[in-house]
Amino acid sequence: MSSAVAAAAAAAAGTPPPPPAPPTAHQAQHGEYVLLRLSNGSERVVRLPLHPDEVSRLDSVPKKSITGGPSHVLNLGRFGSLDLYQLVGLNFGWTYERIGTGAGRLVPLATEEVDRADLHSVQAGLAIEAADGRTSADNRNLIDTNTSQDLTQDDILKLKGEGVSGAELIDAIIAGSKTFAEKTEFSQAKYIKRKQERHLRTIQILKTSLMNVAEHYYTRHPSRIMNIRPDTLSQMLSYANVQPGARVVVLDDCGGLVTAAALSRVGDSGLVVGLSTQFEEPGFEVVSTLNMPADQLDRTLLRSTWYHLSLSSEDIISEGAPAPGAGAEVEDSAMPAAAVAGRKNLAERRRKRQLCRAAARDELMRGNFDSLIVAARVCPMEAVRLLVPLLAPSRPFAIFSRSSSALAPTMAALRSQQMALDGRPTPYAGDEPDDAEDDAMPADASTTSPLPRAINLQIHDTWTREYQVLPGRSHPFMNMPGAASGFLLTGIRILTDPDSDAPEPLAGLQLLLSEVNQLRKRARQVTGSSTYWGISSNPVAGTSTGVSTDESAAAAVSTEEPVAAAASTEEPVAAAAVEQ
Amino acid sequence: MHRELIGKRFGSRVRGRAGTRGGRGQGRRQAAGKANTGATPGGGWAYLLHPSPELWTVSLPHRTQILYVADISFITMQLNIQPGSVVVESGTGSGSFSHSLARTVGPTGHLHTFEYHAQRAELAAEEFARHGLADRATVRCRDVCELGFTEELRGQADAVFLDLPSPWLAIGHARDALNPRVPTRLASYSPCMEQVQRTCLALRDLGFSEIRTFETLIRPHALRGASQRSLESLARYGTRELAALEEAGADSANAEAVAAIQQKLDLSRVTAEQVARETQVSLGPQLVMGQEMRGHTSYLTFATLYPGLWSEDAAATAEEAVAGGPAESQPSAAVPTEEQPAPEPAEGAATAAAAAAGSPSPSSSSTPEAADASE
Ligand SMILES: C[S@@+](CC[C@H](N)C(=O)[O-])C[C@H]1O[C@@H](n2cnc3c(N)ncnc32)[C@H](O)[C@@H]1O
Repeated sequence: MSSAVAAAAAAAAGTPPPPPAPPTAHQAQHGEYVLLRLSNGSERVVRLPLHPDEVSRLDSVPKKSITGGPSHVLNLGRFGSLDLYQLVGLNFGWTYERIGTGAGRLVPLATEEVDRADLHSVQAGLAIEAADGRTSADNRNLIDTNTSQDLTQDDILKLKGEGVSGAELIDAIIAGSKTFAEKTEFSQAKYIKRKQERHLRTIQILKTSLMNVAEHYYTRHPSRIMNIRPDTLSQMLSYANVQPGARVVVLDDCGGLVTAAALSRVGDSGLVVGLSTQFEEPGFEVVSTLNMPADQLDRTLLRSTWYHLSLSSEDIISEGAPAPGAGAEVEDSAMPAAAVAGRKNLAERRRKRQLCRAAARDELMRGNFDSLIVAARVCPMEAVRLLVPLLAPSRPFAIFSRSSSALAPTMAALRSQQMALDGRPTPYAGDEPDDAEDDAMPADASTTSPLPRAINLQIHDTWTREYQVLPGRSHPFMNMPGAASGFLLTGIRILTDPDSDAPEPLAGLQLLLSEVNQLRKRARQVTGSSTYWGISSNPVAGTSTGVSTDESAAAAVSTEEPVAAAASTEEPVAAAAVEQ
Repeated sequence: MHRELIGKRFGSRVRGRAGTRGGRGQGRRQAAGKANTGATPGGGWAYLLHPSPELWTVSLPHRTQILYVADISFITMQLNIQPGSVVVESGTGSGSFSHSLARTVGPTGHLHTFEYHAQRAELAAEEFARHGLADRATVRCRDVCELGFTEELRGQADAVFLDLPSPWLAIGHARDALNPRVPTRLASYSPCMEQVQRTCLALRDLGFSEIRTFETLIRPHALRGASQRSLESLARYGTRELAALEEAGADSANAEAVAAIQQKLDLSRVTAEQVARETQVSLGPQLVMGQEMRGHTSYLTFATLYPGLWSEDAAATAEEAVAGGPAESQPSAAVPTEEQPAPEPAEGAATAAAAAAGSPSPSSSSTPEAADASE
C-alpha cells in the first residue's frame, strides 16, 4: 500500500496517523508474529492483532470486522480459548498462568513455582546418590495405587471450581499424597512436574526466530517443509555462502522456509529471488512469521512461481489489467468509501504482485547470482542444468533432496564431466549400468542444454541428536522427533570453459524462457485466448468479480498463515492483516 | 603460482606445480581468490575460487582444534546471528568459526573475539586484516574466565559463543556482555559430558532459560563405481564357452580360437583374479558411506537470557527492562496482578469479556490436537 493511499484513507477516517509505538523488543507487539508454547505441549505460531490505530489506516476492510468479532480469539481445545489481545505487551520468555474460564486472565507464574519442578534444581550430589541407590529414600517400598492420594477427582474439580490457583491446587495434591514424602528428591520434582502439566495451564510467548520457526515446522508440520530439519537448513545457508548483500536464488517448495532463511541472512542490502513450483502464488507462508520489516521485504524479496517465469514480463503485467471502462465503476459514487478504497487497495496489491513477478523474471535473466539453494520437488538433474548456470562462476550451490539416490546420478554426471576435463580417470568410468541411456525425459532444453561444470562436489546427510543433561542422569532423548530429514548435494560452479576468457554462453534457463515466450505468443494467436495453459488468472480488477476473486485469493493466502488461519478464515480481516 | 592467478577470472583453472598446495590463496575477497588444487601431486589442476569461510575452514593452518561446517551452521542458526548482530566469541583458536561469524554479521555487525594465547590472538588479527575483515572483527588477547569480556562490551552483545575448556567460569561474564534489554542467546561447545553438566548448572543458576544440548554430525556419502559378483555367472563360470567351442570346432581352420576357448574351459588354468573380474556386474555409480565421518565432535549447549528472568536481582532488571514499554508486569509475581496490563482497546476488552463468559469462537471449530494430527 502506498503511503499516499494510507494518508488519504486516514484523512477520510478522520484520524491522524498514530505516532510510531516505542520499540520494546522484549515484549510482544501489535501485529507481530509470535510463538506460543502451551503447558499441554502444543505450540502455535500466531500473529497478534494490529493496533486499532493501525487498523484504521488499513482501508481495505471495514474497521469493525477487525476490532470486533472472534477473529482474534484462538481456540486451543482443552486449553480453552485465548484472546490474542491479551498477549500484546507480555514479556517474551516468561511463563504466564491462565486463570479462570473462557479467555480468562494471564498472570506471570511465580518463579518459585517454575523452580520447584526444575529437575536441575535437585542437588547434583543427591541425584547421583539416588542413581547409585545410596539414598535414604529410594523407591523400593513405593506402591502407587489409587489409595495413595487423599483427594478424589471430585475434590480436585471442586477446588478448581472455587478458582484456586494451579499452585495451590498442586500444594493440596502433594499434601494429599501418602507416597510423596517417601519419594527421592528427583522423583518428587518429577511428580510435581507431572502434576503441573496436568493442572497448570501455562503459556509462554516467544519471539519468533529462524531457529524456533524452523523447529516448529519440522516438529509440527514436517510435510509442509519437505522434512527439512533445522540443522540441514542451517547448512544450506553455509554451503551456499548466503551472506549480507548477496544475490540469492531459492527454489522453495517448503512454504517459504528456505526463502525466509536466505532473507534473514542477506539483510537489507541483498536480494532473494524466491520461486516455487505452485501455479498461482508461491505460497510462502513462513516468510511473514519472521517479522521482517515490510519495506525491507519489498526491497529484498522477489517472489514468483516457476509458471510465471515462463510468461514474458509484458504478459505478466498486462495479465489481469483493468478492462476498458472498469475504472469508471471504481469511482462509482454510490459505493461506500471504504469499499472503493478496498478495491483500489486490492488492485494495488495485485499490481504490486505482477511487478514483482516481472522483476523476478528479469533478475533471473541477468544471472550472475552469488548463491543457489534448491529445496523443491523437482528433478535434481534439471535443477542443475537450468539453475546452476545462473550462478556467477566460482559461486556455490546446495540442493536438497529427501533421497540420496535422486542426487547420485546428478553428482556422477557432474563429476565424470569434471574428471574428463582434468584428464583424470573416473573411478566408475565404463561402469555405466546398461540402462543408463534409458531416459524417460523428452529431449528439450532441460535435458539438452549443457551440464554446467562444478567442483567440490559432495553428497551428505546429517545426524543430530538432543540430550537430556541432568546431574548424574544425562542421556540422549529417547524419542527424537523424526530422525529423518534428507540429503544435500553441494558444489561450486566453475567456468564453462575454465581455460579461456570467452564470455559465458547463455544459460539453459534463459534459452528455455525465451523459446517458451515465443511459443506462448503463437499459442495465444491460435486460441485467441488471453490466459495460459487454461490456468485462469484473476479476472478484471475493479469489477465486482474482480474484488471477490481477489478476496478469495487473499483468503487462500491467509489460510496458509500458520495461525492467523485458525483465527481468521471467516474474516476478511485476515486478508488485510496478511497483506505484504 | 600465485602470480599466474592474478588477472584470471574466478572459476578458471591453472596447472598446479609439483609441491604447491592449494588453500593458501589469501587476500581481499575481490582482489584474490583461493586456489583449489586437484588431488594429483606434481601438477594437478587448480581452480581459482572466491574465498569463503567454508573453504577457509578446510584449508586454514591449524593452531588448535577447530569447528567444522556442521557445528558452525547449527550454532549460527541457534544463536540467531544475522546481518548487524554483535557477537562475542572465546577462544578464537584458529579462527575457523570467527571467519564464518564475520561473514554472517556483515559490515553492519561486529565480532569481538577473545583469545588468551598471545600468538594465536596475533595471528588471528593478521588473518582478519589480510582477508579484509578487520573492520568487522576485533581480536583481544585476554583471559575471559578471569577478566571477563571488558567493560566496553557490557550489555552490548546479541549472542555469546564459548569454546573453552571451562566454559562455566565464563558464563557470568557472558551474561554481563549480553544486552539486557532483549532476549539474547548463548552457546557453549564442549567435548565432554562432564563439562556440559557443569555448564548447564551454571547457566541455570545464572538465570538462563531454554537450556538444551545437541550433537550434530555430517555423514558424507562417497560416489563409487560399484559392482557385485553375479551368483549365476560364478556358478556357470567356464561353461558358457562350451557352445562357442562347438561352433568354432566345426571350423578346423580356427585352431587358435579353439585353443583359447579350451583354456577357459580348463578351470585349473584360470586365476582367481580372472574369475573375479569376469563374474562382476556393474551397478554404475553408487553412493556408499564415506570414510571421513567423525564419530563425535562436541556437545553443543544453547540457552536464552530473557530480560527480567535472571535469578539475581531479577526485579531490578525487569524494572529497567520494562521502563518505557507499554506494559508493566511483575517478574516473580508471588502476588498475581489484578488486571492484565496489556493495553487493550475497548473492543478487545469486550471480546475478552465475551469470551470469558464462555462463548467459544465459531471460527475455529477444530481442536489444536485435531489440527496437529492432520499433518
Ligand atoms: C579449541 S580452541 C577454539 C577453536 C575455534 N573455535 C575455531 O573454530 O578455530 C580454544 C581456544 O580457547 C583459548 N582459551 C582457553 N581458555 C581461555 C581463556 N580463559 N580465555 C581466553 N581464551 C582461552 C585457547 O587458547 C584456545 O586457543
